[in-house]
Amino acid sequence: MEALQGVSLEVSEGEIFGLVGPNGAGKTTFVKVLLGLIRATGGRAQLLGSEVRVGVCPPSVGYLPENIAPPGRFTGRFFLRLVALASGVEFGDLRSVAEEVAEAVGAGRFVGRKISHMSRGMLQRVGLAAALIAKPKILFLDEPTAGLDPVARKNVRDLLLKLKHSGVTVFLNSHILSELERVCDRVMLLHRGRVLAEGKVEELTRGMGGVSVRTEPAVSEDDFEALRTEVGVSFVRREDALVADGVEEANRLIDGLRKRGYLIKEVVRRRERLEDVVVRLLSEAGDGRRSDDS
Amino acid sequence: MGAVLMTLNELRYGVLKWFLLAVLVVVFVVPLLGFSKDEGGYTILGFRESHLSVRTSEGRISGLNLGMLYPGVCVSLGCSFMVLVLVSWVSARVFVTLLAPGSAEFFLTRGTGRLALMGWRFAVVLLCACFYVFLMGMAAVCGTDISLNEVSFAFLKSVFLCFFIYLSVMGATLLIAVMSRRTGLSVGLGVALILASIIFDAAYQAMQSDFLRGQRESAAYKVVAVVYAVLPNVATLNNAAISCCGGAPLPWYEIGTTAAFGVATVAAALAIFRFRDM
Repeated sequence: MEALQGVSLEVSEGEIFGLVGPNGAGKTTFVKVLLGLIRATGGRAQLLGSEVRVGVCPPSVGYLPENIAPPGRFTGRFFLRLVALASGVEFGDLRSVAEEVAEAVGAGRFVGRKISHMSRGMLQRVGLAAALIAKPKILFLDEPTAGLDPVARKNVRDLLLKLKHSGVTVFLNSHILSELERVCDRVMLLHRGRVLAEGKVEELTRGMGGVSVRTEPAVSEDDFEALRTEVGVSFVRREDALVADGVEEANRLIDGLRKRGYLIKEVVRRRERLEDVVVRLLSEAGDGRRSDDS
Repeated sequence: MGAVLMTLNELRYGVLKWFLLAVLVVVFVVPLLGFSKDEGGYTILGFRESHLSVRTSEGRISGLNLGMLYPGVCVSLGCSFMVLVLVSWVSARVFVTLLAPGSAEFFLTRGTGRLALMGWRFAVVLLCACFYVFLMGMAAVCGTDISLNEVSFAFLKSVFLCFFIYLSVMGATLLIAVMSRRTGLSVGLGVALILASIIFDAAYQAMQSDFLRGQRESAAYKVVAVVYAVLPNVATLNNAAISCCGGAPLPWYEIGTTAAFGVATVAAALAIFRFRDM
């Protein structure tokens, strides 16, 4: 069975790229192929300009796996030092480097605790710190905000944006689509190992949104029916607003509304949430699962 | 270099306190367990001077052989079997850091190849185990108040034999750890292998005796001989680690079979680790 088929993409420097898809879509497999952790049966992949080889990963890559489980007998600090040693950090700099990354992800308070005594959220932050140790050029994060409280999530988002501004490319796997929507430049929707959609978040979420026009007073039922024949474009009523499919349709609708003496109170470009887009695309692709699976 | 330092750090972190405890036991407990020095020579834990002495380059028999201190230390800690279990346990814990999902990925994506990471890790743990034996011997010297110029360094032969014993034990532990990714299972199966080796060693030695000379044509003997050649000869080498210090020749056949077993298991483990999907 092929876990991935025909997946092809390029991610440029300083971009935050999101991988979305239901469980078993092939997101983690895709990342592991890029990291040389598993072997692809075909195709080719390049990371930072070099061919990906199984068993050898470029040093300037950071990776946070989905279910991190460092040995429970280590303290967080010791674990970070081991990762730093494996990353080629000088022996004399171990302490400062470990402290620096722990502080950067908000793990400074508890990094001295044993891993076995840490909560899921604490562990997640220690893992994130470990992924940042090598000052990576490209960072792969698998569910980085899983188990984090809202404040910690916001900190991670801020950190990701900071990394992006410093030129780090971030590859984000997450089920929390609202998080992805906030930070990602582009996303790819994988489904059963195939690419279902790929593009900028704005483009993907714009598709079915339309333009919402709110008037003072609200459009009466008679005028609504009259406008439908008058302006010659399709629009619908949503709550107390009229929603046209696109900008041109909205302009024609606004002209019609003005002619009838309505005051234009608000014009808003409506966008679908990423979650809605994903659920819609998955339904169209024949995956009838609920949104909490996506 | 990073892989070596990482392993040394991990050993220091997990094992140093136990090592220091063992050294303290050797320094303070071994003398209490029957060390005595008289006109006729030395006695440690019931081993008399005849075992302890070696022939020096001047041709005289004198001096205490540290080789005796190794079994002495082993006895004081329980028995040599316990030492092997300890070696298997320590090495399994260290290997599994690079194998367990959720932990391994952090190290396997650091730019060092898998072979180098695990290969160096194995070598460092093996050499540390041998160095540990050496230090235990030296600690025993300190504990027994023997001056170093009375000591024969023929005990280094014991360390040499320990290298092959540990190579095979750790090789088996590594192979099982790579396949199962579990500390408990790799220690358990590693220990089972050592036990099997001890049993077959005993059976082979028994069949070599004059008493069972008539059995040499039997199928059982042939099976035991084959297994003896395939499995590491831990018990034989362990006994040789004691006797070689008193001038007995090194058992090269057993060294060869044990080394072959160790190298084969390590090579198989590294090959699996190198090519397996994580």
